[in-house]
Amino acid sequence: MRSGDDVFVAVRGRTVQILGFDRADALRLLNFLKMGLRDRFLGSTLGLVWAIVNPLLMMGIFTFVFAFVFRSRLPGAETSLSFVIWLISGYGPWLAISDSLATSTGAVTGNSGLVKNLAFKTELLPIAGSLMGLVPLAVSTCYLVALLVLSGTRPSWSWLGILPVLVLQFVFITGIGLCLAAVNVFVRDTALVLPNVLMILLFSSPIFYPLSEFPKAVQGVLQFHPFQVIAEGYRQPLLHRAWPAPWGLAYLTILSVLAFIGGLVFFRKLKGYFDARI
Amino acid sequence: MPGSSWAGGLFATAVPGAAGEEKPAARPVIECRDLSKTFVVLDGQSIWRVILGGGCLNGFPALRDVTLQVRQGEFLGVLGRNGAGKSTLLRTLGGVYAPTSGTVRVAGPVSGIYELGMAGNELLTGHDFARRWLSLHGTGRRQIGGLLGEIAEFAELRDYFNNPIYTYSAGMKARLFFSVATSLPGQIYLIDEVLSVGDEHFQTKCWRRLRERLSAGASGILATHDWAAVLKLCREACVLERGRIVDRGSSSGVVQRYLGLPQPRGDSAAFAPHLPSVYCALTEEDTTLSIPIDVRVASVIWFGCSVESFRQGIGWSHLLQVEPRPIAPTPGLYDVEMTISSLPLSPGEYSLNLFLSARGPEGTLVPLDVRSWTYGNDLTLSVAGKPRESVTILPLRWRGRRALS
Repeated sequence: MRSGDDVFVAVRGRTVQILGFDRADALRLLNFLKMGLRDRFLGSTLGLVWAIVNPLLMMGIFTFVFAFVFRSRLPGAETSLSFVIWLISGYGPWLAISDSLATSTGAVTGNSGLVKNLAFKTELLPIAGSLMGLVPLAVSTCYLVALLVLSGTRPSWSWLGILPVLVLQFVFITGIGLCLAAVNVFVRDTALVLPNVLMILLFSSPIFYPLSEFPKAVQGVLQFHPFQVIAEGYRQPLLHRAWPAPWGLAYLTILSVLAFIGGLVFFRKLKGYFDARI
Repeated sequence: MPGSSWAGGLFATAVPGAAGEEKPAARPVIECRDLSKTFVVLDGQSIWRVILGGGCLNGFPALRDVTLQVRQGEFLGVLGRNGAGKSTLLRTLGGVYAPTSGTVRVAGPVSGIYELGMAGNELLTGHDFARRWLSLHGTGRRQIGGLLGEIAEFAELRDYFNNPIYTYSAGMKARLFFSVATSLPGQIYLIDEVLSVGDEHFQTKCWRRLRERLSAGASGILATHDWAAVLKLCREACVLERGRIVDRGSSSGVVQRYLGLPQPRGDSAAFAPHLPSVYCALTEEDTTLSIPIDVRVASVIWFGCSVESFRQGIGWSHLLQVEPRPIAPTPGLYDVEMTISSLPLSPGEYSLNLFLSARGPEGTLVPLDVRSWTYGNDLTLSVAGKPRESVTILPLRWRGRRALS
């Protein structure tokens, strides 16, 4: 289980390695994903149904509260439903991000039995943890599409514009997740503090309220807030039938590649010390 | 002592399969050279040095310059007290820990039984645990399907196989885990202390399974403080002490030194220094073994002898044992000549054990000098000749007679 092979693509014998991962690792990743999904709801009567019902309930509450209780409206908009659609198009990805981060942070410590008894690349655990965020994202996107159709919007090809954003989002979050998972092995407070940090991040980014409601001075900086860029990446295609802004995509690409490579290098540097803690 | 014959106190065990057969040297499947493993000792400050990088870290050396080799079809015994580094050695060989320095080479799929920890969710059923374990070890879906039935049967969990693991007793968990971890044949097994689990019935099954795997060509390492298990399973063994190999060699010798059995001092009578270490003989030929002894006291010395064989996975078996006989009533140098007419052993290498003793006050024999595998100083009896399918060749006559019905 030697680490530190950070060569982008390498051919060793008959196996091709990308960033130190080969085909067997890909299969194992798939295994961990299935395992993670299964274990999260293991023992519950409804099982995997919760993976869908939980985010759906959350979205339902938001729809009810903002559309019927607060009757919130976007500046210049006529219906509350458009606010809810706007909100969920940002909140859905956010839900996925927080799910990804929480799962990947605890991925190594939570699977100490595996780490101690199986020879494999431990990087795969936080990566699989981060990919778990795909479930709430899929649910919220379906919910959103349903709302859009209800509000009379016609499906559009530009909706596919969220796909590159989705990929970049997961690359970015996986990078951060790798860092947090490695740190959490040594400083267990990481996983405990994370929910609060996520809450602060949520309200400091333009997800519950539009960017225009922030003070002018802050707006310029917030433009480059990764979560704002990601949220916009979903909102442009879904709400405005426009492809995501090229600069946004470029910015996000640089950011996520840096985060992923950085996270991987950091994780591989630290994982040699895991045995002192697990 | 002229004409003492084997026929006197001979008993033979009919064990199927040839004993002590010589195999050509098999290829090594586990090899490590100068293997060292140091665990970093972490405290409040050094944690940040690890995370942020830089600064020196204090380490605890768990393994130091371990070099060993295991050949295909062999199990190596690793003896050692708690904290000697046995588990660390197994995990490092199995690839769970990265070595601090040195090289590890393992040729083949590894099945690591490092602890009976279930390495998984207790809410899983036994069935699902088995499926998960196998798929994490890279077993294909089709093969898993075939193995599951066998696992259920071997673990004897019956209906419990489909119940969650948290409903299991400790013994049931151990049975499930052992069954799953040894279900794949032809693996390299790294086994840590687990053979002492379960009830006697299940232990017997465990041994049988390991024997089957061994005879099918599996190899591995058994790390334990149970020296009896090492004697049973391993031809070779080593002793680990504070991360270093302090002794190695044939299991019997290693175990004897590990236990620190007192060696008779050979004051009143001893085997002479020029006692050969190997005796050669031909199967079914009249054989004379000449054993030089040195008697230093004027009392009756008793001479005894046995031929034993070691088979992996079964352990030691007595093949022949000679009733002790009085020899040499006066001091002096003697040659005990023992003639065996038509040596009843098939070709192979056997352990020849010799005992010199005196009658104690209660009539029991007190050893004066011993050459035996239990003391790690046995002799070899090398028998050549035409291969046989039995171990011992008894003077039997066969006749098939039709029964009157």
